[in-house]
Amino acid sequence: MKKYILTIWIFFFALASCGKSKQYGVDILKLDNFNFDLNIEDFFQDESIFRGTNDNFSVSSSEESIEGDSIKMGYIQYSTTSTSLKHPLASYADVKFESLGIVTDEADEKVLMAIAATDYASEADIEKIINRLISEYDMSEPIFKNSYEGINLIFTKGNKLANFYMDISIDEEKNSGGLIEIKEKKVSDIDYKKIKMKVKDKKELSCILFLTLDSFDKALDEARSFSGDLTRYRN
Amino acid sequence: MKLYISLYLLIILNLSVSCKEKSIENISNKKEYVELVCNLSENARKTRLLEDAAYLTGLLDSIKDVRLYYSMSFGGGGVSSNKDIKEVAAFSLPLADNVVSDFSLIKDLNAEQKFELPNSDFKFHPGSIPDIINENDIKYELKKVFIKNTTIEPNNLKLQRADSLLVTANYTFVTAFDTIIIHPEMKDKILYNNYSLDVDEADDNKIELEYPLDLQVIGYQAISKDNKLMNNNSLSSFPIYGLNPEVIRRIEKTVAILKAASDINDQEALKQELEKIENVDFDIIKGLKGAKIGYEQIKENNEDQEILEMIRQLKAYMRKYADIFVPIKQHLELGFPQPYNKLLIYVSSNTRTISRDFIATCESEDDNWEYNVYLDNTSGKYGVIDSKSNIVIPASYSYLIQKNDSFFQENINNDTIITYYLIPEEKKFEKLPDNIYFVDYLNDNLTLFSNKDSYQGVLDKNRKEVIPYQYDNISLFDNLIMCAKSKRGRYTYEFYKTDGTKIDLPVIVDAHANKKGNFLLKGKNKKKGVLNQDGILSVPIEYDYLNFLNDNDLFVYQNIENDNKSENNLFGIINTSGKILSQPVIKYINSFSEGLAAVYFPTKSDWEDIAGYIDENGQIVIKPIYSEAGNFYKGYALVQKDNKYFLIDKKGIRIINFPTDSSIWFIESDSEDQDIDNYYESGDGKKYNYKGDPIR
Repeated sequence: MKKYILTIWIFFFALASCGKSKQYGVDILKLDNFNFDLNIEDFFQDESIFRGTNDNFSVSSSEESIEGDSIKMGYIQYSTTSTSLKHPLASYADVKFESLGIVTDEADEKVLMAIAATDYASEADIEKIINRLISEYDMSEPIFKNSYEGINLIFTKGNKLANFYMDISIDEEKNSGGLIEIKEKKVSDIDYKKIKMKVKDKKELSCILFLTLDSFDKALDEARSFSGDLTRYRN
Repeated sequence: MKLYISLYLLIILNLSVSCKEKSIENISNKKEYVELVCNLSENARKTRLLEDAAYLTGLLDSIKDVRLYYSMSFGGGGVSSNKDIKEVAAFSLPLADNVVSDFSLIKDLNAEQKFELPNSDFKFHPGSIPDIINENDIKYELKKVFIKNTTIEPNNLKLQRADSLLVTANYTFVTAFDTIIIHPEMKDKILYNNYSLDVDEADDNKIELEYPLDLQVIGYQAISKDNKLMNNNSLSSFPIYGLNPEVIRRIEKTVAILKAASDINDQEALKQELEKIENVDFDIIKGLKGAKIGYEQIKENNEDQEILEMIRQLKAYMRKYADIFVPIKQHLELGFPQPYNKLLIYVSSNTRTISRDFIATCESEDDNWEYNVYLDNTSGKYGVIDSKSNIVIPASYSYLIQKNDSFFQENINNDTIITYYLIPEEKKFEKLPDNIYFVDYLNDNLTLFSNKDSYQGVLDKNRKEVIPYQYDNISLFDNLIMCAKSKRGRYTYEFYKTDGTKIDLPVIVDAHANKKGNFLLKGKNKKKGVLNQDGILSVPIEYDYLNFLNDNDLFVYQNIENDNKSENNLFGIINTSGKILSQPVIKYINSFSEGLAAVYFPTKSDWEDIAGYIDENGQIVIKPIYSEAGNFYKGYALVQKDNKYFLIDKKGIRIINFPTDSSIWFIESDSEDQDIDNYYESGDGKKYNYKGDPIR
């Protein structure tokens, strides 16, 4: 009899766990294999994070719009404005991020982008993230910031796109005419050595992982300006 | 098994606590203590008395040297400057005759009654005070109280509401001073008469010192290395609190009595000796013990607290033990712009007191109260009286604050706030739900509160919920209440009438009111409309552009054509009733000045517009015939027609032609002085006044 009750209890518990939706600040949002299926109502259910009454976090949101020759769309950008190192908000490849942004459509229903950022990535963290991106996505082409302030690696898979920004100065390479060039799409052929050299022995490196949909990435191509974390998305 | 062990230990512990021997530490009155000591055997008694004396000595020693203070200093911080400094005038006192004469210039005195038992107190506010009179040094003596046609003695006033008072104002001012000169090398004690000034810290241009409270320091200056007199550029002065000397005296006296008693064997003589301890001494011992525990807690807490929280706790502690810790010295920190050779501290050496009688009126802006808070000084508790001074709620509450005639708030230990609703006919308070806090008083009927989650709501004077606790911010504008509600960090706005009726509107994402209480609304579709002051959506939310044209009823509107060409996107004028006063034919509209606004209409030429003026009703009052039209100033406006500049009056009549072919500009004076006029200036540098007369 006791066994029977225990079985039911475990079964119920398992069901409850499966059905539990993610909540900002309560659950660490795992971005591995992220499917943009976040329920925004549930995820941002705690109003205290927006009203400045939460002890750990503070989130702002703003309505933005993109207007170009071929597109006119609105979107909502959520940004973490006050973070707590003790309470990471997202993870990718087991690397923890203390800042998390979300972009949703104009109706504030569908997730268009997740933005995970940290200022404290180590050399090992960067390696783990890149290796995981390589295994999860197909390598696309790297983007160098115009201001030579950093580097973006772009990965795609179907309609999903990952853009990994690292705050690595590449001034030296520019000056010496030796910009890092990553031409090959296969992992083994890519010249990661230079990136690895740059992050070597670094303990507190800033990096941002953008996960988005192909359609939103195209829309952003027409945007005249960006705010917040998105300023690191495009060169 | 574990439970048994825990329980066993708990019982043992409890027993040991209960069995703790009675001593002066845990006895709260003299009678009990004398009985305890007298009933002990001779040896036990001697031990008890000596142990108690040792306990009191230890208690006193543990807290005797505690100094409490908090300071926040502002100013240049005594930062040294390499620049040459200007020499300042030497410190001086105003002439005594001038002080006497200026004191007599104070015309009136207002008294604010603080309802207290056994007798009300007053706070006095003199009318305009001449500069040389220091308001803080006027001391008031209440002589008589007048209520209607009767005169009563201040001692018989109690809670009665005074109409006016006969008051003697005594003003003490310094008539002579001494200068204490401190050289930089003097880094310890400076003696002046019977006073000692202790230098805490000193460097080239800064000094920190402490001096007795009764030494009246009235000014400070310093002489720089190059012999220039300079004023301080930073200052911080605050009292330092220490153990009340009276507390020290009484504890030391008690210790002496206990020691003396320990040598007495005769019961009667022993009793007689112990009777020398007063009951108040037991209160002091209790207070001192509490102060010591509280001090240790504060010290422990301070390690990981924010500075403001530390100050808050320290202030609360000092308030709680106000009898134990009192100001014992004054601390002074001075900084000077350059290193000094001599520091000059000016101290009073003679004073004079002058007096005047006033009839003080007891009037204040909040005189129309029906209920007010009173303090019973005998119990330190607060209650409520009505306007006829009848006690409605007896004094049984900690610090009570009146918010309006219906709502009162009790602050308990600075931490807990309880809000009460007064039911006067039943002479009782009804407690509002926990964590409901007063925010603001909206009008005679409506009061704004917030709940524990900081959501605001509105109660009427019968504590009926008029607006639910759902909003981040609530504001009253004449007839309408605007409520801002946030969801996921973005605001929407809802509106209520003052009777609590919610106005049915689509989702509003932005709202602004003008002075008349009309609201410009922006819907979720980014279109705009107007909610008038009566709560009617008088201009539907369908305009691409809509903005206030003046503070009254006019709005300017525009609907953006799809082709987005500017010549198709002209402005029209609409009023708060939704009546279109002008079709969208206006290119742009200047702001109103002196009741008129210039409006520009397009012409067939892309480069030329034609301007006239509209009045506050949106009617064209000066025909559009000008190529440029400026704002009206002192009844005239600068206009241009046929390449000529001239001034017109409000009927459009040409007043004066400017004798120049060059351009004319209206120049706004950048002086803060309102009397300095704006003027017109021509391209050839000539200036003209408001009516076109040349300015020489």
